Amino acid sequence: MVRVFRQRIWVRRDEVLDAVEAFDGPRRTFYSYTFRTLRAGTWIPAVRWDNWEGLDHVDRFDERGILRDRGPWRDRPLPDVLKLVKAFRRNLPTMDLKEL
Amino acid sequence: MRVEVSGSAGPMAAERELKALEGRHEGFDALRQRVLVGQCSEPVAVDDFVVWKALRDPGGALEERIVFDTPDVVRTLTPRRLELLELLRQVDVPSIKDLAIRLRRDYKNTYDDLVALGAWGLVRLLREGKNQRPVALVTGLHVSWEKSVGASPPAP
Repeated sequence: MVRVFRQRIWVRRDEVLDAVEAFDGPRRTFYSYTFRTLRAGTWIPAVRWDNWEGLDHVDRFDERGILRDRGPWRDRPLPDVLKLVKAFRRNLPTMDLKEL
Repeated sequence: MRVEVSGSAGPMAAERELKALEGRHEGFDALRQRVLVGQCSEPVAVDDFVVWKALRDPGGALEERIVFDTPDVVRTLTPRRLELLELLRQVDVPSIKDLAIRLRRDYKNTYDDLVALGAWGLVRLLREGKNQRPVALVTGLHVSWEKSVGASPPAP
C-alpha cells in the first residue's frame, strides 16, 4: 500500500518549499523537495532535491523554470532542507549545492 | 522566537484530486510515458505521477498538510477573516455575494479578504458561470512554537 504525504511549507508570501514523500509501508520510496518562488502569479521552481530514478540529486532551474543543471546530493531530511532554504533563499540557485 | 501556523487540509478527496490530475495531463499512461520513457525532469509532472500512481493503487492514500513557517501569515489572519474561514468550512457558499450577505458585510471588503487569504493558499475562488465560489482549503489552524515542520508522517 502506497501512501503519499504532500506538504506545502510557506517560507514567505512569495516563497514555498513543496515536499512530496511516498511510503511503501515504513519504507520511503520517493521524496522531492522543491523550492519555488512566485513570479507574475506563477510558482516557478528554483531548486529541487529528489531521488527520482533512484538517484539522490539536486536540480537547479533558471528564472523561467527550465532545468539548468543537475548535480549529486546526499539525502537529508526535510527539516535540514528547510533550514537551507530559509538561510539562503533566492541565492540557492547560484550556490554550489552539493557542498551544503 | 518562531511562530508556526499550520493548517490541516483534512483527508484528501481522492476524486477531486484525480479530476485535477486529469485536467493537467492527457492521462495516466501518457504521463507515465513522459516521466519514465521521456525522462522528463519537470517537477510538477514527476510529483503528479507519484501521487496519481498512489491513488490508483488499491488502498493507496494521499495526505496533505500546509505549514506556514513564517509569522507574516498572522498579519493576514484578522478576527474577521478567521470568521470568514470558519463560515466557509461550515456551509457551502455559492458566491462571494452570498458569503457577504451571510457575514453581514459589504461585497468589496469580503472580496478583499478572500484575495488576502487566497494569497496564502487558505481559500480558492472557483469560477462557476458568472459567479466565483469561495472554498476554504483548510479545516483548522494551529499556532505552535514547536518545530513540527518536516515531522514524519503518521504511521499507517
